[in-house]
Amino acid sequence: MSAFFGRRFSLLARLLMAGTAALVVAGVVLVVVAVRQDAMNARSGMAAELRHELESLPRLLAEPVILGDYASLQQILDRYVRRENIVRVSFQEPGGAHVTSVDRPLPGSAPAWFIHAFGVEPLSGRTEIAVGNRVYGDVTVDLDASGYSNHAWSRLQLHVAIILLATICEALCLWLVLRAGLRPLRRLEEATGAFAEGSLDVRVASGGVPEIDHLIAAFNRMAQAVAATQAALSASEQRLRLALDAASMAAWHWDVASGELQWGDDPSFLLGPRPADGYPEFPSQVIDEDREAFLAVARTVMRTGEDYRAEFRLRRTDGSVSWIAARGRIEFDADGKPAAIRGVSADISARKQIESELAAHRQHLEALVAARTTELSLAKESAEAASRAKSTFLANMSHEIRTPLNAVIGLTRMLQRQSATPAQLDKLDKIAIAARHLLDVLNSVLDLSKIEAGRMTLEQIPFDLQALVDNIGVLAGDRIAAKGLAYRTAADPLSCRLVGDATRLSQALLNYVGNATKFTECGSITLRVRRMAESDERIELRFEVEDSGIGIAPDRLPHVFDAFEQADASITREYGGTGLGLAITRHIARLMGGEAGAESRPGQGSTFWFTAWFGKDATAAIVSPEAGLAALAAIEARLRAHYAHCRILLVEDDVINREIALGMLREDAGLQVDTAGNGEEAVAAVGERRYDLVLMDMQMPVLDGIAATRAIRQMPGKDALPIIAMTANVYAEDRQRCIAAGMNGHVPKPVEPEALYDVLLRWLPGQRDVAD
Amino acid sequence: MGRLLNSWRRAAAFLLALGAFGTTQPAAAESYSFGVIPQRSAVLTAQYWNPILDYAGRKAGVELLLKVARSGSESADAAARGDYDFIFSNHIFQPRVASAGYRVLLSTRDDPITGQIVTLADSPIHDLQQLAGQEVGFPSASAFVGYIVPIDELQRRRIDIKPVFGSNQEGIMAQLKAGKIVAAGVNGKLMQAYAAREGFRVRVLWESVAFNDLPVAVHPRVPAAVATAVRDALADMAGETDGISVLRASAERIGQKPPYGFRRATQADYRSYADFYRATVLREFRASP
Repeated sequence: MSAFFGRRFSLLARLLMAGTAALVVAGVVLVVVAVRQDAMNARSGMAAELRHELESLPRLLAEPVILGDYASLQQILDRYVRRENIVRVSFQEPGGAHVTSVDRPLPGSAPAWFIHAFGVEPLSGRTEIAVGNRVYGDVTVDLDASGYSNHAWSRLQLHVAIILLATICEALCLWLVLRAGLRPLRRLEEATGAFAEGSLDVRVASGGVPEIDHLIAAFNRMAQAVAATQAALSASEQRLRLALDAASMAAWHWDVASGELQWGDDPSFLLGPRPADGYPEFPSQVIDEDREAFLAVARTVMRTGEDYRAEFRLRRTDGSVSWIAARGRIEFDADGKPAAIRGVSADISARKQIESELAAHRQHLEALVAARTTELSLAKESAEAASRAKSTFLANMSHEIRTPLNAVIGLTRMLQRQSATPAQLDKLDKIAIAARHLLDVLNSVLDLSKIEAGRMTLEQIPFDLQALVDNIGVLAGDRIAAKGLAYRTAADPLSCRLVGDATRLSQALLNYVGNATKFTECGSITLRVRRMAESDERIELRFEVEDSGIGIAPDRLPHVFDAFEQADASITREYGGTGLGLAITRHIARLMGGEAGAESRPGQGSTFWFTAWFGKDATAAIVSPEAGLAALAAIEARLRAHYAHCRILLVEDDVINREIALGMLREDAGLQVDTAGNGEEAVAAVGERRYDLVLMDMQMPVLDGIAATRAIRQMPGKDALPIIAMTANVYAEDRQRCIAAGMNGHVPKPVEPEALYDVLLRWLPGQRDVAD
Repeated sequence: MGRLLNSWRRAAAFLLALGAFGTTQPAAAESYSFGVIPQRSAVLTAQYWNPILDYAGRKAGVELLLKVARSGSESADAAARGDYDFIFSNHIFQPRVASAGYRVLLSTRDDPITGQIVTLADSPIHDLQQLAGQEVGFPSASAFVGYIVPIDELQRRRIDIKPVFGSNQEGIMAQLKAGKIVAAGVNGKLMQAYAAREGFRVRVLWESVAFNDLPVAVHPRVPAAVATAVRDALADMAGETDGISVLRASAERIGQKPPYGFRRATQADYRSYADFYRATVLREFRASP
């Protein structure tokens, strides 16, 4: 039906029909409802009227009935019957008298079918006329529905007339409004036609209903957009042409079905001059070597639908060969099948030439790079070998120097402790001083090596700062006293122990104090420790060593911390020294998170300072090595008193070092000591006897300390045996090798009694805290 | 619905009638007309008399049908014709009506009646002389105490008035109350009752001697037994519980004061009427000697 209406009737006609139909339907419904309502009202009205008449008539008729005045009664009935809807009123006396009104048929204007449809029947009612218990008779009232049906018919006619009028008005108004409203649509239709024929500048004036105006505005916007797009397309096409011309490219279109290739512009710059009979088929112009590949690409593209890309050589009509690069895109028909390829082609002969030259140059570069890489690898290997050689040299030199130094220092100490004449003691002191100096130089050189290699590390061990400061005084006190200098210390009190590398801190302070001692002839040296910053877990301290020495010239002061730098050459000649101490102190300070510096006034003295961060330790005190002969004696006494039951295995191949160590262990500390000359003997001794601790030299013949330690650890029940390395190798990796082999600690060579006793106290069974 | 109720009502009345009459009731009671002088509206007259006649008729074994004329004159004319079998009226004493031969059976138990000429209590008229030339209302030309007696007095006093007639006693009383007439000749007892009922006061300019109130009389054609039965039924009503209830209810409709009911009476009880008619100055009412 919608198709039927769509073909035959305009919008106006449809609206008119729809509106009219709606009005008619509504009108019919209204009429039916109204008629039904009228019928209901008629029935209820007639019933009410009858009730009313039957209530009022007795009162009205009582007088003439009582009087027996039937003439008056007749008149009354005749008058009464003229009332609306009453067609007859009659009085019946019991005795037989009957008075009836004249018949007054009500005019009926409604047609019979309407009356039938109206469905309201005549209504009759009767009542008595009784006065004082006497029934004088019955009065009967007959009502006719004609009045109501006439009224309903009139209303129906009125309703129908109104509906007709409304329908006519609706149709007329609709026609007028739509006609006026559709006029702009016709303008729009004309404009659309003109637009389709190419008049892109056509626009439609508004002025209709808002909906049409919106449509017109939308058309105008669309036209504007299309015109702008068209202009942009034109400009783009022009730019494309310019671009193609500039890039020496030509656009082409290849139709799949016909195989025809169409060029957008003159392709002579690609294909060569146009022959008289036109260009041959394109594939034939592709050189033989490239033709198969050229065709294969086309076949692949047709099959997969991917973009077309090909590079091939073309023989131009002038006989020359040029490289062509073609790019295209598939166009599909309505069935989704490839219908054409549209693309561009360009002469890339120059690019190909450049690519070839670049390839040749790249090959040459690769050869150069390979040669250079080989040279660099060799240089790197050489440098690494040199570094390893240097480290090995330093380690070996450290060991070769420390070992005899250990003997010199140890034997000198033994001689000093044995009875000796003052002259002998004086000489022994000088020997000890010289040996110590040599050891200091060696340590400084090794430290510098570690600094340069970035391998100086700090330990984090709790220590007592005041004890450390006091120890500095002990260590340097002799030389200070020898020069008659006053030595003072001033340290801010701390509420806890510090956590850090006490050894390096002592080294840094001893460097400062040693320099102050060296360069001060009279006056005093003061060591101060001040609290700089503090948190719950860390504290920054400032260490100052002030002297009243010769001072440093301002121009030299900035360089005193440089390695191998001294104030000047005269200083070296007069005071000696390696120039490494301050550099090492600054490095230590920086490792500790601080900095180092100095202030000085020539002739008045200097103040060397450094800052460092330490952790705070609230744990119980750990026995720290006691320094000084008195403290050393106390430790030896303690070892003799509490550890005499312990048995130690000393593994040392060097006779002198063995003798020195035995002196410390047996004679000074009173311990039980067995010896082994190499690692093999050590393993056998451990297997035969129980020991409380093993002191293991590292570099030994037959079996070195590392291998011996591994062998001992593999023996059942020997995994808890403390094995302490005695090594002149001071690098961290050497210590790591010891730990990895299963050693528990190390004692550096030359062996200092304090360090040795500290290890013994830590590892021998029956260790007690030293509180006294 | 009304039709249905009316049917049931008639059926109930019929059954009641059957029950009331019992087996002794004749198959169909004879009907006798009972004419009542129109002293008020026909409806009010019927409301008053129908219950009484219904009661008395059932007691007497007859059907007494109330008859009321439109006016006193018509009632007197009907009485003169002998239309009524029984009559409650004093028109029967008029010379022209007396020839019908009605015989007095009963009289009302209440006080005698008088004729009065009254004005409204606030009227400026205080004397009959002031009525000269005025319109004076009367119930009807046949009303005895309402017209004949007063007009006789006026004529004896040579007071010339313009008589105006109403339809009945209460009709002219209503005109007096409305101020349409300056004075009226009325039945004194009825005037009192009407004034009390309607709530206004009158001034009595003149009052006649007392006459017995209206009698119930019977036409000679009525069988004596019937007359006696009716007489007895009406006379005994006041002494019967149901009867006095009927009388009381009817009296309430018209504002009648007790005593209610009827007493046996004879023609002799109404000699005063005859005497008046013999002595009146009104030629049209004068009885022949």
